[in-house]
Amino acid sequence: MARLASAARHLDEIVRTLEEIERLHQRMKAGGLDRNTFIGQRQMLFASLDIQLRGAARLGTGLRGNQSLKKILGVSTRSYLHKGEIAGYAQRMAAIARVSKWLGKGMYLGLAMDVGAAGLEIKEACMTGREAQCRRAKYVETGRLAGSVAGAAWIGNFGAKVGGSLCRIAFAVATKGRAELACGIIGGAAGGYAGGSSLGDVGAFIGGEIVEVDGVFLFQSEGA
Amino acid sequence: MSLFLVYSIVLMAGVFILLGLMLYAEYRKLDELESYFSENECVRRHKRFWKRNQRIDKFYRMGLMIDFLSDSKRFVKAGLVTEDELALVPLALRRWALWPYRISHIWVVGTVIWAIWYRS
Repeated sequence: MARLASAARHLDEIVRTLEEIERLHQRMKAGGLDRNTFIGQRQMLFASLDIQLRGAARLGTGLRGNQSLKKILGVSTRSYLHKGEIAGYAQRMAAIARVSKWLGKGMYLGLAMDVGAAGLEIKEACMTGREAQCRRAKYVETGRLAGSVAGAAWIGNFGAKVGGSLCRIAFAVATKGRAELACGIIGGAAGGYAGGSSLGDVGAFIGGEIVEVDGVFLFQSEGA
Repeated sequence: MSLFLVYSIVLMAGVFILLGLMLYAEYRKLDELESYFSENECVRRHKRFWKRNQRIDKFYRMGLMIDFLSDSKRFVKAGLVTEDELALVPLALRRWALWPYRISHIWVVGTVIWAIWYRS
């Protein structure tokens, strides 16, 4: 329980940092800050977000043994810490709300929902002055979308076929449509889920490797 | 370009090709395949159940064809199809039905390998 409580507290801190980024952006929009000060202060907030996320990752490993929290948040150390894909991260606020709920803290849900509504604002705040990184994040998300749709369709198709065949065999080759349909749905859903998530990762990875040079899309060379 | 990136691209391209092949077979080859089983009671019953000709109907009708062709012995033994009927189906048509799924087995393994490689 202590672990759960500390995980919830941790999430709360992450949410708070994001809120601060949002507030900073609002101050800049209101004219209270110039662009450079804004970028400087935001950099500090990003740094603390980095630390908090590392903590979250560590906590995640402690919780389920396998980076589960990081996975639930949809943030991989590789994509966030090294490539700075903050735009993609800001869109994950709804996921934080869900995690908070699982952790059994109703109030965290409410809190995170508020931030979720401000998600677009955060995104805008994160993008100012970081257009290059955000463009990269766009490729990552586009890649993930393409990969997960195709993957879900393909493995879903395959899974439904395998499920249907297994049932046809299990029910003594009696090709009653209904049983076959049920098995197909189960196989298709399982396959679709597995295919969508795993090939979404493939697409995101490929998207992350794309760079745009003078309007031409290339794969970045190693070490770039 | 790293080996992992090349592997990812090949995997992803394969998914699109396999998906395309499956859909093509369902939409262009299914009727021809079923025509070889026009006298078969099991196929006719199955066709009556999946009669609306939508995507899902084509999918399940194709599923039966694939089972007939890939696991023929079991279905012949059960008396649902005869060896003579199966022998009439041309090889090219069999390949359209079977190979997208056979390659999919390999691709599923490839996806699992990708996931392990990515996390390591």
